[in-house]
Amino acid sequence: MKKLTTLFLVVGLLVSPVLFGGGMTAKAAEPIKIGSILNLTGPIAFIGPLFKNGIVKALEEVDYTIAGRKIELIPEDAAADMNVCLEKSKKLVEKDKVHIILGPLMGDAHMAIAPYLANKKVVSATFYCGDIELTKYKNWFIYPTTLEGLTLPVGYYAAELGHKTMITAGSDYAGGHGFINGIKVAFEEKGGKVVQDVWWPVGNKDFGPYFSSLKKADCIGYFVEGPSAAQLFLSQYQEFGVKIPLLGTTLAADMPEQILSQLGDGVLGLQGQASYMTDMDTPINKAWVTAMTKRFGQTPGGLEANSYSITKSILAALKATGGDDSYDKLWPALLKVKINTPQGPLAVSPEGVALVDNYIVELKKKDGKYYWDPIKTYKAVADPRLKK
Amino acid sequence: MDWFVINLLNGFSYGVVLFLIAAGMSIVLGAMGITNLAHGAFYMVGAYVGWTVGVKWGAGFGLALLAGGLCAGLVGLAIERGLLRYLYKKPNEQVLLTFGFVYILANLCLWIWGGWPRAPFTAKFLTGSMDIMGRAYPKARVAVILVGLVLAIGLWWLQEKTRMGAIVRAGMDDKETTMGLGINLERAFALIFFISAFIAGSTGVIGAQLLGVHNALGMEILLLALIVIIVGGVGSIQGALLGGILIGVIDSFGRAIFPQLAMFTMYLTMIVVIIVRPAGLLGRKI
Repeated sequence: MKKLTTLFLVVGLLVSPVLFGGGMTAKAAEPIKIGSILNLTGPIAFIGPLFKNGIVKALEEVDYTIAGRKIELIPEDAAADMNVCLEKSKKLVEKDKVHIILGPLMGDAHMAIAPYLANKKVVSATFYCGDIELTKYKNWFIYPTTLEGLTLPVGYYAAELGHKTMITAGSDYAGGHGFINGIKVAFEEKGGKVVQDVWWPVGNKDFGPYFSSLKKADCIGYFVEGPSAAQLFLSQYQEFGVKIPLLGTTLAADMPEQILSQLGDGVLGLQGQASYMTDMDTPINKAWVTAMTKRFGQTPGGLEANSYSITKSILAALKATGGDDSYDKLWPALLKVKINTPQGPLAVSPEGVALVDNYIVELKKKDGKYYWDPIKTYKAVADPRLKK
Repeated sequence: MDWFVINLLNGFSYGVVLFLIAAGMSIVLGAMGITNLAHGAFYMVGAYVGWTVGVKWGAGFGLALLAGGLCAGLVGLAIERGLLRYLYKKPNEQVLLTFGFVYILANLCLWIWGGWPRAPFTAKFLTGSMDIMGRAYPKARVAVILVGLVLAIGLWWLQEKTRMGAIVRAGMDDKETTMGLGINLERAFALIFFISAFIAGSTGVIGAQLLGVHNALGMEILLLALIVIIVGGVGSIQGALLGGILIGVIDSFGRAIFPQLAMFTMYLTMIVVIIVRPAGLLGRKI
């Protein structure tokens, strides 16, 4: 039994959920190296290739060249493991000598690698939001906005619908707390009252016990981490016959066609926040979706849109510096970037946080195909803690 | 009262899945002395195959159960006959080998089925909810409890009332004497390993009704199986059943009453059992 206990501890460590140079100057003759920390294996292995597709497309559009310098992309797999993220960051900086790193995804990993990357003066970018704490390092491009900033529209929209009370429900980690806090701040600012906070651990599979203990409220503002959890949450929400309406977050990114087609018509009418929808009716988005579909053989979603816009922003900054990728030149140039992306117009705050439009969407179905229909736009919503 | 019953049912349904996951691993550990860390990966393989047969091909949930079990069973048999049989009484090598297969099988599944998770699926007649004390409750979960209890009785009967079970129990107590009686233990062990992997694969399909399917299941399931075995005790069907149900019920009420301490209750139970009853609640000494 003692052996079994020891074995348990060893396995526990192995499968723990966090399985995850100064003075740099650009040399014109050498290629600009862009590192990227992706999840190509592990529990969210399907996400890594999507982010990579967005980066590759943006680089292919400039033929891997900017201001006369070639660009080399160095993708690394972090397998959703915070420790691996740190190792890969060190490898990219010290061995590959990159000055720019795109990713990783998870908020906990950002916080783990941020001090190191700040010390090494590496311009870094979050793939999907980031804690406002990152802004103190002055090297993080936080896209599409901060954790709280992203979900403010959910709180505003709930109040606009006339809801007076809300239950917030979310995944219990740094990112989850940020997203839920955004909903809460906005809802309370508009006079609403949050009557219950429900937290479940990351990787939770059974939402039944949580559904059985809900108080009475007008709506539930929720966040679940990723497509797998979103699927379980929504299918169990239906099975347990919960009648309180849902207002979700990161909907279009977490639930593209591949996920929606499995969930069926039961979730039609679901509303919530999204920062990008494939069906956005703008010429730049339509052209981009067509080009991405042709290039990669599948319709792109919010994840590809994020990494594409991030890479385009970096390229715009590199163009402004004449190809100089040193931190001292690149960071100020990045803060001045103003471009149009498939997601919409993009600017950057003095802290390095992207300023983009944010949307409330509703799930609809047309000709047998599910899609997220934007029903309200919140223009360049920013975290209230950013400089005006 | 309805809150209590709903959470009790939640605990039983989750507990039955935990029992089925742990039962096969526990018997293999108790009877053969093999620490099979790939057991969770067999669960995952079964779940993916079951999804392909049941959802993609639309061949029905019964066939999905059978196909998931059979495929996982054959993978298990190949690993046992090809590699593990050379590693009896070599626990370190067993751990390294079977843990390696967790990664190999996860990546094979990633290669074959891609990275997108699969939503929970069930038989058509089990779709939707039923009314229990005025609350909606998923039909599939009630079916999981019933199927699990039937399987528990079947496994108990197999272990306690059949010649095969007698050989397993004899092998657990005294391998040499059992072999001295002319019993081909190696063949019996191969069969036990196949049955264990078969149960894991079928449980993958049963569990998919609650948990869906994704390629990190192998790791997640392994940790749960080890907790149940530690609580219930090694080598006993009754122990796995008691451990599974106990952990399932405690976890369900723990989440409902102390949401922010979810999972902690599961580990706390394990710690208490290790201190009070190190061999597990109904474990055989190994």
